[in-house]
Amino acid sequence: MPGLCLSDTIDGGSSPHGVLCDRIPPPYIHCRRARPRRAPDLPHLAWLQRARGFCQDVQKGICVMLDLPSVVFIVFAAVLVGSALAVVTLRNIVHAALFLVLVFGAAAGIYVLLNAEFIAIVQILVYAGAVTILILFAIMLTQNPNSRGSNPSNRQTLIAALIAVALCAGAVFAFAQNTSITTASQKAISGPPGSVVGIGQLLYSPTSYSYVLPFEIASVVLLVAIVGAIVIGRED
Amino acid sequence: MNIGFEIVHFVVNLLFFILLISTNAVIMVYAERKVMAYMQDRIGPKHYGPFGLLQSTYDVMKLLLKEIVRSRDTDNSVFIVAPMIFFAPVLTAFVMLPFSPFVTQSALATGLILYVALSSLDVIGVFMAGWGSNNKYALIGGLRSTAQMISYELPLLLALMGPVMLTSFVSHGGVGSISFTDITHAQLAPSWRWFVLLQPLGLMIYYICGLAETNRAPFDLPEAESELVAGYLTEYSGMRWAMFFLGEYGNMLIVSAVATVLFLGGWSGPGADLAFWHRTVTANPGGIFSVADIIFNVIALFWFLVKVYILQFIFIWVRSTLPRLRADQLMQFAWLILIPFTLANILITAALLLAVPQPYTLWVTGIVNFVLLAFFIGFISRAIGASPKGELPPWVKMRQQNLARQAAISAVATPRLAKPESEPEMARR
Amino acid sequence: MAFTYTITAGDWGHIAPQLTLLGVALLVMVIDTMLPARLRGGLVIIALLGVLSAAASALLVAQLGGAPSAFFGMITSDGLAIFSMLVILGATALALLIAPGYIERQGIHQQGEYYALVLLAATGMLLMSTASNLMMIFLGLELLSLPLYVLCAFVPGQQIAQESGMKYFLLSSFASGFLLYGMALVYGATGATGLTQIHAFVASHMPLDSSLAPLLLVGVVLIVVGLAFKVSAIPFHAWTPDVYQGAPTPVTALMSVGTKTAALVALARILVVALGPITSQWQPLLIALAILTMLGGNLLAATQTNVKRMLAYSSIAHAGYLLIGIAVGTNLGLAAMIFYLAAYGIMNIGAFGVVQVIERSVGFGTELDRFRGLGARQPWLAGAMTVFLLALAGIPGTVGFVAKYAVFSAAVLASHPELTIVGVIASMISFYYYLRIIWAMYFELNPEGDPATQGARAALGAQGTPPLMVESSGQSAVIAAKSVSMRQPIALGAMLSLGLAVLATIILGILPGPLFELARQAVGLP
Repeated sequence: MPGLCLSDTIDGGSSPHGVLCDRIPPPYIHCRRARPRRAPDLPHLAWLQRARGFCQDVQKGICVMLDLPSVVFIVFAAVLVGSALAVVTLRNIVHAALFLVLVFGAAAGIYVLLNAEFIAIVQILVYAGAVTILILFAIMLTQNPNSRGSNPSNRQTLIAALIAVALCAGAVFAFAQNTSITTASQKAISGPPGSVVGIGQLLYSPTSYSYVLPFEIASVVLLVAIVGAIVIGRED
Repeated sequence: MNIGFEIVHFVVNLLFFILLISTNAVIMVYAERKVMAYMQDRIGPKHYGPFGLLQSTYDVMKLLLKEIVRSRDTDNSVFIVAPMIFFAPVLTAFVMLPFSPFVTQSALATGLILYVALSSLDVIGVFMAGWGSNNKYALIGGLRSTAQMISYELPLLLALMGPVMLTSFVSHGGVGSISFTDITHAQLAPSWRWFVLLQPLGLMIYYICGLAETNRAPFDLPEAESELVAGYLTEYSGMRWAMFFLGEYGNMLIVSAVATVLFLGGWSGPGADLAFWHRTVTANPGGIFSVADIIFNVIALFWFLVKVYILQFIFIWVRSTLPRLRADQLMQFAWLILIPFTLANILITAALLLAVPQPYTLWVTGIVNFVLLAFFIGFISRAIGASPKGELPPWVKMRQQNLARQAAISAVATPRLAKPESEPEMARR
Repeated sequence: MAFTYTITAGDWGHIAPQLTLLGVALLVMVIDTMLPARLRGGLVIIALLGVLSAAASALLVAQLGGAPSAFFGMITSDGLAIFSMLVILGATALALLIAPGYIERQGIHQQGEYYALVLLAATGMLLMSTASNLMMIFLGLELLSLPLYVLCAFVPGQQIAQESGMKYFLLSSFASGFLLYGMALVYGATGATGLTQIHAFVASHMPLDSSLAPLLLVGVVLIVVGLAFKVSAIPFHAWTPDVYQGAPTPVTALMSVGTKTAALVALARILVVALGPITSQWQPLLIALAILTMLGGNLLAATQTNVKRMLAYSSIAHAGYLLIGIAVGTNLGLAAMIFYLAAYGIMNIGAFGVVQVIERSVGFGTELDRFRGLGARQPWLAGAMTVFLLALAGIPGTVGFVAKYAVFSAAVLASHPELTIVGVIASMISFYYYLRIIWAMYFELNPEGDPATQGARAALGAQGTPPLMVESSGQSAVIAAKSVSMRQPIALGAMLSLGLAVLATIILGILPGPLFELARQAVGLP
């Protein structure tokens, strides 16, 4: 079952990347589990194949057939983008903060799809479990859930939207153009094992490639944040 | 590995977990009422069924049939979603618990940290309930609960570092694991080496934090009925309320189960971990299983549940024994006592594991930890009753007065009638 | 244990300056809790000693040589790193020297935290300027930004200070987001975060094909945006005047020099060193930035009446001159840039040092009016200010002229005369506002000699400020009434700092040879 390839089009062969999925190593990380294109010989899953229905013409390179990781990715991505939009557009900040939890959760889901299980869990632990809680705590203490009064809409929405769309289009274009290079970073990603032990070795063991100095510096950054928060918050 | 087995495995486990949560809640409600009744010299429920055994069943019926009431000005979506948000992490957390060699859903490599992450998600449900209810008691309850859960998460996580370090020490090659299954295995072979024998302080602090995380007495401030009606539960009724209820009892179960896995050797016990049994399991994970496998699985499950229910019994015991803490004492206890102790525990354990030569390492570590535990208990008994103004707890003051009086008596050697002191004020409350 | 821990003492030796500063910062915080309140002024001595020993260890690292990088390519200690470290440490020392008097006047009680945060910010600057890995660059940026957010809002009870800190925090976090996104894209394109690996990858993929170019270039643009914010290049400058005005002036001085140095060196490392093979791709961007910044900064500065704000805009303009050094993409350009940084550090901190003597409460009392007649009241102070302003304008005989000459000649030699032309025009514009201050100091008298009318004027001037400020302005009006036409007292440290800066400005202006030679050696030119 080949992976979903974003640069593919339904018209298949006409696109230069139309046959991307079978010729070169899959360029997208969530395609990494893509197996040869032939339908798996699993009789008990035949109904699923029929239900999908739009992958008959595989020879022309139309490979929009979705495997499970792709479906899950689309779901998570949709939730992520939708709730992120909700965070910035909702006027009720409590609701916005709660949608932020959803954003972090969906991001964690995408990390799981990338085989970064540990990062996903840390994402939930730190962002959904701690950061958002602090935000909610601050909201509860200030007791003004509605930003309608405090944060009136400005007149630059249109310009901001245009710039955002342009930036987004640029990023999408850059990613879509990119075919050969991602393999380089894929090598870098798939090098160390994605397990806890691998991460521990990456952070502390200098035998292969060590991040021990960034790790220590990050702790200093946290120390500064604590001192700064106390200085700002102290009433004397 | 065939896919049919996987599916059967999944369905069996899921049913097992869901049934376990609901059955456990029913059992625990009955047990709580009965045990507390006996501890308080009462009889408890007795009218329905033999020994009142059907009481919980009637309770469930009542909950199911109750009208779901919602006040007019609630923040509707938040209010409705809150119980589900609260319950979902509880159900999810069962994913990584190894109940027995067979009844385990997945040997996640990140089990321990996933547990912490999920327990931190509970707070969101509580907050949503408190906020969505649009009720000042509910809001205060939610606020308290949020602060409490954030504060106690830190010592909880730090207390769990002990077993992790021990696992990496006893396992071959020094490569440890935070998977619950691996930690259980580390306590099995070659002989029982339950980590409670090496980390009693860790278990103690973890259990205290577990009490706080589940909002149980003496940390049940968020729902203190004498001051807050029912805290964040005030506006809830019927099945929505029951969701919170199930979630809380499920949380208790998880806290006890995690303590069992990390400190009490998981499913190990007489008859459960025979040598040949290990060989079959490790050689053929999830494969064809024999009758002997099933028998030993059942024994393993039995021991696991026994340990879990002993710990849950202590939940009830603590509830009927200790009075509720005050809000500032609660925070001070976490930040000024528990966190320093857990940090010291981590440092000392790590230093000992590295410094002490091999055959004595575990002995020394364990003995030092028991000494630390004794120190911890002594420290708490001194500190817990002290008021923020630096006064000594009343019983210490009384003892000092008594000692001083006796010294005076023996010095002067003139028997004088000791005037009864005025009743010392309760430092708690 | 299976892990073999092979980081050697040499690795830690490479970051000895950073470690020294960090240790002294922690020491200052600990000692602060033990000292009685009246002795806390002495903390500045500990902080200064820490900075000096950090500089000494930086020189030691340079002397000992050894491997150019440590921690597996996270940190480098090449000539560029050593030179920029010395510039930052010098700026920190000068900024620390002018701090005690200012702290006393503004009623800042938390001195221990103040000095510790300054030292931690300096640590971040050192880390950023020595980093040779994108990750370290980002961490250094965060480590220098977080203390500065707090320091900007350090003066208690002043709305302008809180505005400064808040504005800097929000906008800087936003810019950090850009930087991080850019780094992620560059990592995605090249598969490495180490600058040497990125260089190797780009060099081996020349010329860029259409599949590599977009991702890499979008990443580079985003990185440039993030760092240009810290450099306060136009159009990412909007925060600068407000933040510089509301921050305590010694912090402003440090921020204007140290942050610029760190960010520019990091930018130079990324663009010139790592992405050297694709110079033609990023060069137009940098040239546009430099031209915009030079012209815009000087034009905006010319409209200011508050000297502190004027200096803020002037620092934007100087960022433009500095960007020329990177935009030309040669090693000579880099040498000119770091020489300019050293010169700019001396003269700019000097100018802010004079401003902090004049300043009444944070952000107020630095209007041009306050400088009228300063030449008659305090000839030495006015003389120092004159030297700094002439140097900033680039009058021959001062270090500012030499620095500008170096940068412009590097542009000409790299066949980018348009940069030189624009730079000279921008310098012409800058003469106007620098000389206006000098004119005011010497050739205009304080319009009212009468204290009462001066106080009334100050109160009237406060009507333009937001209503919440009226109260404190009213207070400062009373202070003004008392202190007008009186000499501003100069603290000993500030005197020392100003004296050193004046000497350095003049001596380096006459004899720039040795320092410029050092700068050339630092970037590896013969």
